[in-house]
Amino acid sequence: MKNLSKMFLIIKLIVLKDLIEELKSKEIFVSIISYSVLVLVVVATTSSVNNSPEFFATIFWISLSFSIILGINKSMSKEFENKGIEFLITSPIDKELIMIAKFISNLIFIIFSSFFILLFNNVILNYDLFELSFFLLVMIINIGFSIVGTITYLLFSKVRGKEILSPMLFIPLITPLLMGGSVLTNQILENNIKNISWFGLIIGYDLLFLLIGLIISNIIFEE
Amino acid sequence: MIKFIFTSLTSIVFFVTLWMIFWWMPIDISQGPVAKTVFIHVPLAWCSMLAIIAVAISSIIYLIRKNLFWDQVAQATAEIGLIFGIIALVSGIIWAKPIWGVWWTGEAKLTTTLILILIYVAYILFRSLYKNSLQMKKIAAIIAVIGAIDSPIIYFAANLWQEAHPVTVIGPLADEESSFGADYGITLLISVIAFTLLFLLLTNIRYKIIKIENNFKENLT
Repeated sequence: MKNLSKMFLIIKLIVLKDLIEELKSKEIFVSIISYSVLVLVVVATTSSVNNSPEFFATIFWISLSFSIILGINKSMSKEFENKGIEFLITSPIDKELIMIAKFISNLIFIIFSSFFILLFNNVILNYDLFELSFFLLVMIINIGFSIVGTITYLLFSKVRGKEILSPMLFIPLITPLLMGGSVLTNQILENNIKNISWFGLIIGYDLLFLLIGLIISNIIFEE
Repeated sequence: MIKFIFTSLTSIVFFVTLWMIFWWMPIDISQGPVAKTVFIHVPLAWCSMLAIIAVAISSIIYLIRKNLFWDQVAQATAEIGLIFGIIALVSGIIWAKPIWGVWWTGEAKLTTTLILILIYVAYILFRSLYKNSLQMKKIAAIIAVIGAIDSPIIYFAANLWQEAHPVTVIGPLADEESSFGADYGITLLISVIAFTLLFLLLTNIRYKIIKIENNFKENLT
């Protein structure tokens, strides 16, 4: 019990550190939200916006996934600036706890930004999608985005060209999440959720990658 | 001696395959000459799937035993598997346009192959950009294993997605079945054997080159 509370304390401290730093600079939020708005501007100026659920689902998930790549790269690269990550690695903390703390920090940034992205999507694409089922869907998919994004960034963290390599692995790995997101978004917009199995796939995928992240944390964070 | 026999056997089987595809097999009445692409596409796709499994198994063995041989085998297999995968995808696209009327569909096999090619491009790029070290090999092995674990999930997800998005193919022969006879099966089987032997031969050659390169770099340092 004492060990468990110590683990929670360590995770809480790392997450708080990231949140406080972000509240001062706001770099990650601004990057994610502004990039998403840019994608929407391109869509609005190059296509005729229509009311089909598929159009909304496609644009929303494109703008969200590409903005998240930017956000996670920004968040993780801050950790590597001035060799901050080395202080974490050399401290007597389990590597798994560092991994979980980074997942949670990135997840908080992504979830907070997602609400703004959803708001802008609704306005620019003329939709009114503020349903609880959709928020739940976005939440569970963002968990997957956060975990996969963190893992892919850390795998390539010591390579020059990581800004290119990390999305090259991130996008293929999140395709099941994007497929599920797009299908369920359509069905939520039509008020007819038919494929509940997608929720199972998404949650299972998140858990699988959480497990993979914990298993490989010692290798990734080697000194 | 074994290498000479294996190379000769591969060459003979390969030339027999080419003869069977381009001379022995009649041209399909409904699909025309483009139908013969299948005899190249299917074996290439089979070899690229074989490569993924081989890379994953070699990577796992490397992570457990830390024997450099398995890392070099994984690297060689990934590179040759990637080439075979790209050619399989391109040959499939060439076949699809006149037959289905579309270059691409959301079909599960196509989506899975494309995503796996991207994962293996990332694997090979990573190996070339990262300094050659023990940690690089471990991380490369992890990327390969993640790719292999992910592939059945992507296939399953793509199947589910396709149920929700049935694809309408509008080509002139979209609904017609092939009129190939029993010789189709024999030619396909010989073709699969030929390309598998070719895959093994190329992987072996690539492995030897990688081994020589690594020994050379080690001697330099």
